[in-house]
Amino acid sequence: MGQPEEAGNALRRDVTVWGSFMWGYADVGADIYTALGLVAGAAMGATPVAFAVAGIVYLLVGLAYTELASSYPVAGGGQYFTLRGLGDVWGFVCGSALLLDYTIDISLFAVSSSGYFNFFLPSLGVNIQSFVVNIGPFVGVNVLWLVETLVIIGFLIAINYVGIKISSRINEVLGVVAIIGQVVIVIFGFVFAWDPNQMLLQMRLQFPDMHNFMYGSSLAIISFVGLESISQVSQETRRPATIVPRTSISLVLNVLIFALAFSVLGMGLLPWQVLGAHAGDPIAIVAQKIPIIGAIAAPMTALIGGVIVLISSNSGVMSASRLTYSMSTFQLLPEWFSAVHPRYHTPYRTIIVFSGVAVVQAILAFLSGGAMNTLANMYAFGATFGYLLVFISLIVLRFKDPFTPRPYRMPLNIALKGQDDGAPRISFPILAVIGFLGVGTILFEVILTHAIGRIAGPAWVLVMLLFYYIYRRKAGLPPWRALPRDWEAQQRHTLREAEEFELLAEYEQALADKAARGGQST
Amino acid sequence: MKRGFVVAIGLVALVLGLIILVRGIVEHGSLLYDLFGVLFMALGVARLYDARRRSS
Repeated sequence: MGQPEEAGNALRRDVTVWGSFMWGYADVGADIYTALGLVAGAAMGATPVAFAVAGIVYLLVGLAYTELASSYPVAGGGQYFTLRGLGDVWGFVCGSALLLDYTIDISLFAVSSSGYFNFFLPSLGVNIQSFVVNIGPFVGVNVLWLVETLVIIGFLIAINYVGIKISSRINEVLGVVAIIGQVVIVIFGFVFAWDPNQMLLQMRLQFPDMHNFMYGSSLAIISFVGLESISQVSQETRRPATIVPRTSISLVLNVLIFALAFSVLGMGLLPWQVLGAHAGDPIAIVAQKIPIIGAIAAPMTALIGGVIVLISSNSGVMSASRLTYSMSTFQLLPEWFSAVHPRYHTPYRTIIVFSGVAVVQAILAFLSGGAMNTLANMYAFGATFGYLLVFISLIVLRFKDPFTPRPYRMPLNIALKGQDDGAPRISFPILAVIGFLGVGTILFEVILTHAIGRIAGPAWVLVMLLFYYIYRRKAGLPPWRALPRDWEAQQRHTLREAEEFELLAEYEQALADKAARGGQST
Repeated sequence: MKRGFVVAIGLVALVLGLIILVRGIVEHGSLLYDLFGVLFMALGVARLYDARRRSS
C-alpha cells in the first residue's frame, strides 16, 4: 500500500510565494524565447494566430492545474492527479509523458540557451557555422553548440544536486531581470518600431496552408509548457492552497501576454523568414530591430534570453527529479529513485539519471541535424498527451473525490445531485471538457504533422511502460491493477504538513458527514 | 501605492501614448495603432488625475 512519505525523506517546504511564481515563470516564461523562431518558420504569416490558438488551450490547462495543484499540493503534478483519478497504469503513462517533457525541457532549453550565448560569437571573431561537421552518416552536426549544451546540463546537475534553496534563489534573481528586460523590449518595440501594416501584410499574403498552420500551432503549445512546475513545487511551497491559485493565475496571464506580445511585435518588425532562420536567438533579433536602444538591447536580450532559458532548463532538472520522486513513492518506479540525499535533502539519484537522459537526447538531437526542431517535436507530444490525461482526471476526480476541499475551481460548472441523500453536490466542469477537446485537437495535430514526435513520443511511453511492467512483476505487485491506497490518510497528511489547517478541518467534516451517511471510502 | 509612483506611471503612459499617436499619424497611419496611443494617453491622464485627487 502506498504510504505518505516518511519524515526522513520528505522534501522540505521552503519555497515562498515569489519562489513558486518564479519556478513556474522560469519554466514557462522562457518558452517564447525558444518557440518564436520555430513557430514562425512553420506558421509563416499566421504566427500570431498560431500563438493565440495555443494560448487559448493553455489558458484552460492553466485553470485545470490551478484547481488540481491547490487541492492536491504534492510533488508529482499531472502524474499524481492521474494516479488518483484513473489509477496506477494511467498515472504511470501520464508520468512518463511528462517525464519525457522534463528531460526534453533540460536538453531543449540547454540547446536554446547556448543559441542565445552564440549571438556573441561573431563579435569575438568566431563563426559558429565553421564548427559544423559530418560524422559518418550524420550530416551537419554543430560540434561547438553540442559541447556548449553538454557543459550547461552538467552545470545544472551540479547545482540541483546541492539543493533547491540555492536553485530557488538563482531563479528568483534571474527571473526578475528577465521580466524587466521583456517589459522594456515590448514597450520600446511597440512604441518606436512596430509596424502594424507589415504584420497585416504578412498575415494576408503569406498565410500558411492547413498542414503548416497545424504544425505551427502545435509547436506554439511549447511556448506555454511549464505550469506543471508549480504543481511539482507545490509540495515544497508554504501554504500551497493559498499561494498556488494566486501564483498560477498570475503566471498564466503573464506568459500569455508576453507570448502574444512578442509574436505580434516580431511580425510587425521582421519578415517571418528572418525569425524562422534565427530559431536559436529570435528575441535578440527582434530587439536588434528596435531603433535607439537596438544596439544595446540586442546583446542585452541575448544575454537575458540565454540566462532565462538556462533557468528554464534548470527547472526541468528540478521537475524531472521531483516527478520521479513522486512516482517511486507510489510504487510506479523502484524505491531506489526516492532516496533523498542525507546532507542536501535533494532526490540526487533522479537528478543524475534523468539529466543523463537529457544528455543522450541532446546528443541524438544534434546528430539528427536539426536539434531544436527534433526536441520541440517531442516536447509538444509529451505535453499534449500528459495534459489530455490531466483533463480527464480533473473530471473524474470531481465525481470520485468530491470531499477534498478545492480552494479554486475551474469556472463554468453544472451542479449535479450527489450519489445519495445529503452527499455533497458534484459540479461538472464544462471548461474542462472544452480544454480536453482543445488539447485533444493539438495532440491530433502533433501526431499528424510532427514526423519525429509521432514516432519517438509514443516509443518513449511504450519503453517506459515495459520498464514499469518488469518492475511491478519483479516487486510482486500487480502490473495492470491499481494498488489499494488510503487516499484519505494521504490527503490529511498533505494538508497537515502544508499547514492548511482550515482545509483540513473542512476535509475532516466532509469525511465525518460521509461516514455518518455510511458511505464507502473513495 | 505612493503618490510619486502613481505620478511616474501616469507620466510614462502619457509620453508613450503621445509617441505612439505621433508615429501612427506620421509613419503608417494605422487607425488601430493610433487608438492604442489614445488609450495609453487616457490611462496616463487617469493616473495623473488620481494622484492629484489623492493629494487634495
